[in-house]
Amino acid sequence: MVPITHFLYLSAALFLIGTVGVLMRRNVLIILMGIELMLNGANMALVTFSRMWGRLDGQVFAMFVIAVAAAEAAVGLAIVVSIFRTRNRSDVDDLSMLRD
Amino acid sequence: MTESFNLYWIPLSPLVGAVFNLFFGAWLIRSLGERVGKEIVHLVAIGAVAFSCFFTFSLVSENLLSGTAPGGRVVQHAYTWIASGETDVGFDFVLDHLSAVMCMVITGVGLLIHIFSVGYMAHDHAYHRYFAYLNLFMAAMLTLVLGKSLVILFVGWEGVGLCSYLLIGFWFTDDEKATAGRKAFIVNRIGDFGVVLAMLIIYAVVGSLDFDRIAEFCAPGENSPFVVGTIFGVSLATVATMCLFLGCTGKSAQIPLYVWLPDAMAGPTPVSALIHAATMVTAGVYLIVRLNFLFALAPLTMAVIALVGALTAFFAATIGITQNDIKKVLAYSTVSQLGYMFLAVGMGAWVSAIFHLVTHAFFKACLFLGSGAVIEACHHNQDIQSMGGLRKKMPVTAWTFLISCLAISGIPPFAGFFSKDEILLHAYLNESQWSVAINYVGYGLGLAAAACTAFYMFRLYFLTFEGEFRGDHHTWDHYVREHWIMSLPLVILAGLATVGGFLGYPHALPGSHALPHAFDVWLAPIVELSESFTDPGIRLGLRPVAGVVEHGHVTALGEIAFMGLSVAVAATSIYVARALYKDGPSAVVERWLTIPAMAVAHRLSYGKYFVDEGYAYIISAVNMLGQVCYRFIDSVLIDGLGVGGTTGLVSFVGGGVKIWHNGNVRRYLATLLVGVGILLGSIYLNPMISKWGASPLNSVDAGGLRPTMGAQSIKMKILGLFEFDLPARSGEHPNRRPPQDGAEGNAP
Repeated sequence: MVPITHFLYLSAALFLIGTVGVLMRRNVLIILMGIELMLNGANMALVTFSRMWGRLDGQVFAMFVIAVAAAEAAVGLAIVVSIFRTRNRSDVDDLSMLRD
Repeated sequence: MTESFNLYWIPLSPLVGAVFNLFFGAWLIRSLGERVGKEIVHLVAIGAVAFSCFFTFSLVSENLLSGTAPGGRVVQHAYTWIASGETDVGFDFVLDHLSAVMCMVITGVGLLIHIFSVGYMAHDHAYHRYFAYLNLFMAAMLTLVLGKSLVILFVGWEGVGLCSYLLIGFWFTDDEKATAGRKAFIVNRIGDFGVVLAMLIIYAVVGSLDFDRIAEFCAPGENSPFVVGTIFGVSLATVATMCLFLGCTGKSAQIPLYVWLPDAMAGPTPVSALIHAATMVTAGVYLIVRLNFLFALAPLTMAVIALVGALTAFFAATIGITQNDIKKVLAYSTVSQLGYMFLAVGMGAWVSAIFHLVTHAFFKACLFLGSGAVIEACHHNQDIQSMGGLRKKMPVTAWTFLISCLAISGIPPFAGFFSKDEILLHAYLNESQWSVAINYVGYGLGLAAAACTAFYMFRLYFLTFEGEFRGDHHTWDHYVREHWIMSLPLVILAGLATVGGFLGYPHALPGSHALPHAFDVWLAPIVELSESFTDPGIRLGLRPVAGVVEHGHVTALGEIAFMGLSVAVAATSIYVARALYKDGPSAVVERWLTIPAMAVAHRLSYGKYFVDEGYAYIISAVNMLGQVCYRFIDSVLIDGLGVGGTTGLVSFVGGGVKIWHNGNVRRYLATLLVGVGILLGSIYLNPMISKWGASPLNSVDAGGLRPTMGAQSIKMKILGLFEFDLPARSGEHPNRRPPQDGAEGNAP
């Protein structure tokens, strides 16, 4: 049987990769992909613990997260398209108009 | 039975009049025109007062005179005002023998003065406002005298203070008059502070401020909680009455707070007559007589009151001698006469004080209204040096003025003679703390004040009405005249000033069996309690004087001797005044003033003993303290360090943090991540938590945050950076409560 820590390692790895992606990349699309990875890392942990305790709560949560992630991806992509149309680029470091 | 009396209509009807004129007066005058509008305004105002006057008299005759009212009084609970715990303050009104006297004087004199005002204020553009204030004053004053508890009395007390302020500063565009209004208000505030303190003390003892309850607590005399209880070694009765007396000195213009009353003459003259002579300023006397049983328990206060009263009577009278403003003379005479009343209450002669209050209301209102007629006739000139000879054109005013002057001077058979003589008699004969000494001082000052009073009143009379007119001919030809609406109240008041004294006809004079001392009989239920005290020290009564007091009564011969002496003194003063001022300002006096001693005395008296200037020093010291507080404490400490320091700190920190807040999304995310890391790290890397679950400092976990946390061991290494080693919980947390305790959940 695969020990529970393996799942958690995978979850942590996914989360970390996503985080690094979000923090290091400047392209909005890549950042969105990083966020998606982070969400799935969290999903992984939820499902793991759900299995660990033998209860379904965690899996239900994971379903919710998937649904929210889908919505988030749709809205996020729409915003990205809109930004790209108006500014012709998609570099987050340029998007600091809300600073003040 | 008491429910049908509707006592509250007495103060309510002027209040309704006030509200009507305040809200609709201006509109009426504007839309119906000056003539009709003003007609409606004053008819409403006079009608409201006439209604309460009629109502008072009918209630008194139906219930009090006939003796049908239970307990000799009418009590009515209008509604419950404050009900909190054991405190229950109702708007309770009581019409007993004392408040009946006050109500009759207030509504009667008030009605006449309202009528007079129609003539005096005819050309004023704020006609409706004047009558609204006057009605409001009547409502407040009637509340004051009808109130059954100190709270209701205080409502009226403050109400009359407010109306006094509004009416003194009635012509507020004149800065001097507005200042006079403020002065009256502020000086009265000092006194009101005393009243509030006294109310608190009384409430602490009695647990109620109802007069009946206070009387119950005073009834045991020496054993009353007011005497047994002490504060700093002084009996509660003394402290409470001293505080009340402070309020009385403010409201009734006694030393040291009398300074506002002469300035209060800035208001319209009928106001001076109503508020600052006949009614409001007597509220202090009323308050003391109302609480006579409490004051009787404090002989020290009584002695102080008598002393202050006598001093005020004398000093105000000496100031009156040299004043040249017709209203200022009358103002100082009012202060002086109020001093007599306080002398009387201080000596325990409650009835004499109320008697003098009533007669004084008649003749002083008449004098003030007469002066109002004169001022109106002389085109708002108040300087008696430029008057004279007005008798020729104003015979009614002159005659009524003369009668009132005779009354205030104490010439029989006019009203003042009886009441003033009674006060002087009691001042000499009544026993009190520091007896004999205070008898001599009180009587001596009172007699000296009587001499001064007769002198300055007749100086005023002769300078105003006799001799030749000293003003300009234009005024004499076109303005000096009388109007019936102003003369009518004068005649009525002069009539009352003539016969009013027979309400207190002395026993010594012939015919007293047919005409008993009405006030003694009438007020007997009010003063019954305080006169029943027999313990030495608080006993009220006559001291033994050979030949004058026999078997506890004044002998006829003794009383007549006293009368003779005071009449002789007054007559001499009148003769001197006539000799000096018969034909206008006297050359003899001018010559006297070249004598240095006389000049100094004149300057002192003319400058009112420079009391105002002395107070100005005190006030400048207070101002200085205020400046220090303002400049240092307020500006530097509070505004600078407190408010400015806080905002400065916030903006400094904000300025620093702002640099980080640069709009870069990735930086925000990194910050967020670090924050979450710190949060989680502080929880999971905390040895206490990793070992025992949640921190014992954080007892919320007892029943539920994560009851299963640490049930299974977790060991992780992430990239060699983070290392989790969470062993399964081996035992129960020492601080963790068993579940059944957690369910009850209160014990720490």
